[in-house]
Amino acid sequence: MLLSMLMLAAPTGLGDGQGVHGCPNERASEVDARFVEQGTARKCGLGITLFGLELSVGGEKCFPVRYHYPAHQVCNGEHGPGQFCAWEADLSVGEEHCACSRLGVLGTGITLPECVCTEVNGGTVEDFGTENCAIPPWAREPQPGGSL
Amino acid sequence: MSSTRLVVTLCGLPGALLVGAWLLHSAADESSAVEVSALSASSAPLVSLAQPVAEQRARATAADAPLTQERATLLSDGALVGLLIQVQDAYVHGDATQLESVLMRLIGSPAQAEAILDWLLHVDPDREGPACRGALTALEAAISSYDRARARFGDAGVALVHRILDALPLLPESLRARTIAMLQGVEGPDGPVLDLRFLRKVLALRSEHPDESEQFVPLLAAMNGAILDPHQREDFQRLFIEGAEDPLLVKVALNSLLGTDPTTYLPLAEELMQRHPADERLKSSIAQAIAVSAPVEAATRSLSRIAEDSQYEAFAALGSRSGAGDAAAREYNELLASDLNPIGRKMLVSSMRGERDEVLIGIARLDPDPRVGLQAALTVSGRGPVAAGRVTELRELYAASGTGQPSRARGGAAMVAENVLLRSEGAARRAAQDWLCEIVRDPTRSEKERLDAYARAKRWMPPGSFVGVAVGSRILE
Repeated sequence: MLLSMLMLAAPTGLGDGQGVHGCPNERASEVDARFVEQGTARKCGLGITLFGLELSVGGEKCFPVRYHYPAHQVCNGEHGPGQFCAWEADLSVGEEHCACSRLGVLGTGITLPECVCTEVNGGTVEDFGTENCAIPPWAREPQPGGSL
Repeated sequence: MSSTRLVVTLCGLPGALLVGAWLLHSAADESSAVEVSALSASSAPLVSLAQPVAEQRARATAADAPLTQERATLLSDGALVGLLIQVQDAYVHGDATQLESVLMRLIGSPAQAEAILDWLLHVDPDREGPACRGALTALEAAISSYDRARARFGDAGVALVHRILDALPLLPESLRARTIAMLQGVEGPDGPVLDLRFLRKVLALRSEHPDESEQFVPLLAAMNGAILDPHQREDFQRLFIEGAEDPLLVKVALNSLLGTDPTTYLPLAEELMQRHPADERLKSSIAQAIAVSAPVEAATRSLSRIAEDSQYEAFAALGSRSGAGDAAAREYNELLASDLNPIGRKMLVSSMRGERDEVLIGIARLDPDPRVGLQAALTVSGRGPVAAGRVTELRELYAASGTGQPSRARGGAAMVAENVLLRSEGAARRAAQDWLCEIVRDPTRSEKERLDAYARAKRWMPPGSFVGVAVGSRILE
């Protein structure tokens, strides 16, 4: 079903150019880098037995997934006389998959539980920039578009 | 055993403090035992301190600590500090056996654990760092074990948490933050101990101490779940209204309200998000609450409506729920049929981790928006190992996406290839290495793209792989 819908939609194409007629007087707005944890955290604590019960004490909290968003710019309608906000690049969003693991402390022979993560490129955020409306269209960088 | 009165100096401040409230469990500690059965709160001399807060702390301790029969035999302050340092020492050395042994002497009964809290109320955390860390570990172990062993300890775990919450405003700020972090991490038999049972207490703390109220917000983080009590429902409604711009408060309130009344609160949540377009943390909190707590179908529609490409955590949470895969596929189909909302489609695809490779590669090939296509390729390559044949398919897909001008559609190829290197081995990894090398050497690509691919490739390639390769004016190796 999903694939058949795709077959129907494919020829239509979509452009995502700015399509500016006149100057929008908008500049790009800064968005700080951000780090977000997701899921139910486990504690990478030391496993002990008290009163006949197994429990874990101390240790850092370890979320199963963490995302790193790079600092970037977006078009949020911020006023910029004589300017427009334009796409510049797709930046990678880091996606870390984490789990508790025992790691050795260098030179001591001691192992302690720690949250160990492996990162992949989980997605992208669009990074925009501010362009000057006075630059004629033929002098601008080509705008992106088209399917893969 | 004789009564002993200890005169000590704590926190670098002069004063006589009657200390000790330490039960003994082992004969080895008998020599350091102090009998305090003759004392009462009114007769106990208090520390004479210059700071009003410190005085308040001292008075609170004397007044709050009931001298039960169980606490008749107590450890001296020095013996307690010694054991707390042993706790910390055993912990940092990963010595579980030693830790168990010391903890049994420190928290064998709930009264002993309360006495550790009393000690913390008087201590200077800068001077007694290791003992303070040991005390927090001991309190964590006490709460966790009492709460798990209810048949033996009754509600002692809950009572201890209440006492610690009461004591929080009296603790020095650095110690307060660490104590809050400790409370957040304590786990009982059913998950975090700090659950809805303590909602009223935490809300009361916030209202009674408005200057410190922000510090208490993390205590609410784990208070999720169905609201059975109408008073709790009112509490959450108040929290939602009061904390409308605090990301964590909004998330906590919505987590409960969306689960019980999505019809009312889903539109309110979406509206709140639209009112704060530049507040990334608030928007993330709202999206996560919707993803986790609203019914799956409604959450899927809502999230795709308000989708932004900085909400991966929300879509990942949605994707992990039962039935979310089908709901996401249905929503994606509807949006695709009407050629609408490419960002919504892109984020829905990010949640499709359970979808078959063929479907995700089909989306990468056929969705008319390159952002959606790239997301599908990243989802399939980043969720786990792929077969070498899939790498070839993805590479051909990107090769067919246009040459000449730098194209956005081609720009993500290096990220996809790097995902394969990170997640796959063997033939798939070798295919990804070849692909990245091709991008680095491809003169039809922009310098930026080629240098980005080189940065991703070099840790996976043997030295000398790019000898003599020039990108613009730069010779790579």
